[in-house]
Amino acid sequence: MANIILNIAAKIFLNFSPMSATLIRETNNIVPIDLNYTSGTGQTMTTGQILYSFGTAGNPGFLQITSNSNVTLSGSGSVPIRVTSLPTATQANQSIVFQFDQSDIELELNYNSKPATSNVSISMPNRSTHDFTTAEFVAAYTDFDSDAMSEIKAEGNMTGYEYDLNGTGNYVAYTAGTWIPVNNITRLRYKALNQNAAYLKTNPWYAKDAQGNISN
Amino acid sequence: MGNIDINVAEFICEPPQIGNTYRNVSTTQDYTFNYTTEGDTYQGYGLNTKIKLFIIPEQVQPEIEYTTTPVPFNAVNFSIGQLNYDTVSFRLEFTVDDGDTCYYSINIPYSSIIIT
Repeated sequence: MANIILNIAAKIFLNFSPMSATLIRETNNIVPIDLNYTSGTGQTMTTGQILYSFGTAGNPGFLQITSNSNVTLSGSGSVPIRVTSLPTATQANQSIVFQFDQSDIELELNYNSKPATSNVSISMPNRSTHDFTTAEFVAAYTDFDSDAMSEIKAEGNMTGYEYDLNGTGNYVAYTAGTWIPVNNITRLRYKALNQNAAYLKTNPWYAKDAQGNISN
Repeated sequence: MGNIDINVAEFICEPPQIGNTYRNVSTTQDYTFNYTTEGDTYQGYGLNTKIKLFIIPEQVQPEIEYTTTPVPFNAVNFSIGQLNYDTVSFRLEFTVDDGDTCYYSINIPYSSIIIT
């Protein structure tokens, strides 16, 4: 009598370290991550290989995780991967688990939003000077995560704007794009032109939140 | 994206309204002429805004000039000094010194001031 002998090798699973990434809501994010592993036995990843995908590219809610290089997983090491995502405006933090070669990969995704700004409307008499207040800008600032406003800047033709950079009372022309810490907003002022006619002066302004995100 | 919108008001040179009158005036006292304007159109002037007081008849010249600093203001004081006329009238002129673009002359109803 003869036997049919099957030698079945034990499956050795890869061990991946949990990862995390921070994504900005309503923004196209491309975040590279190094995925650490152990127990590699020669598995391969190729550049662009999709490891996880949800939603449609370009649409809000899209999330995709791909390999970012051609690599063979042997022993231990790290694999460069890439998270591509367009989170919705209200996307909550989440943890997702997906598999590569039957081994779990856990990815914690944290979300933050850019702050939003609305118009700061000032009415002032002819030939006068307006000293800005912090409250004027705070009232025109919102942040989905309730992150505080940390800095502001204005762009465009800044003629008439002056800024006391050092708080010494020495006002100089404000340079467009100069970030002003929120505590120094009161050092910014606008001197109206020496003319009789009424006019409207409009400049876009931007806010940076405590996480460093800048409003659109 | 938000904007900083600054609306700068037009300067409207409205005639001030003189608020007080004097009768039986002394020849040596100072006189204060209070005035108001409609709205706040006299705020935000340049610092060279001037108010002049003229005393008629013209023999009382020279003119007395009062330069206001800072603005806004709502009263001016003039020291008239000795007057030797039975009847005089006063005229206030408001001049915005930014290129003579605004000028008003106000006649105070003082056609029969009694000098005591």
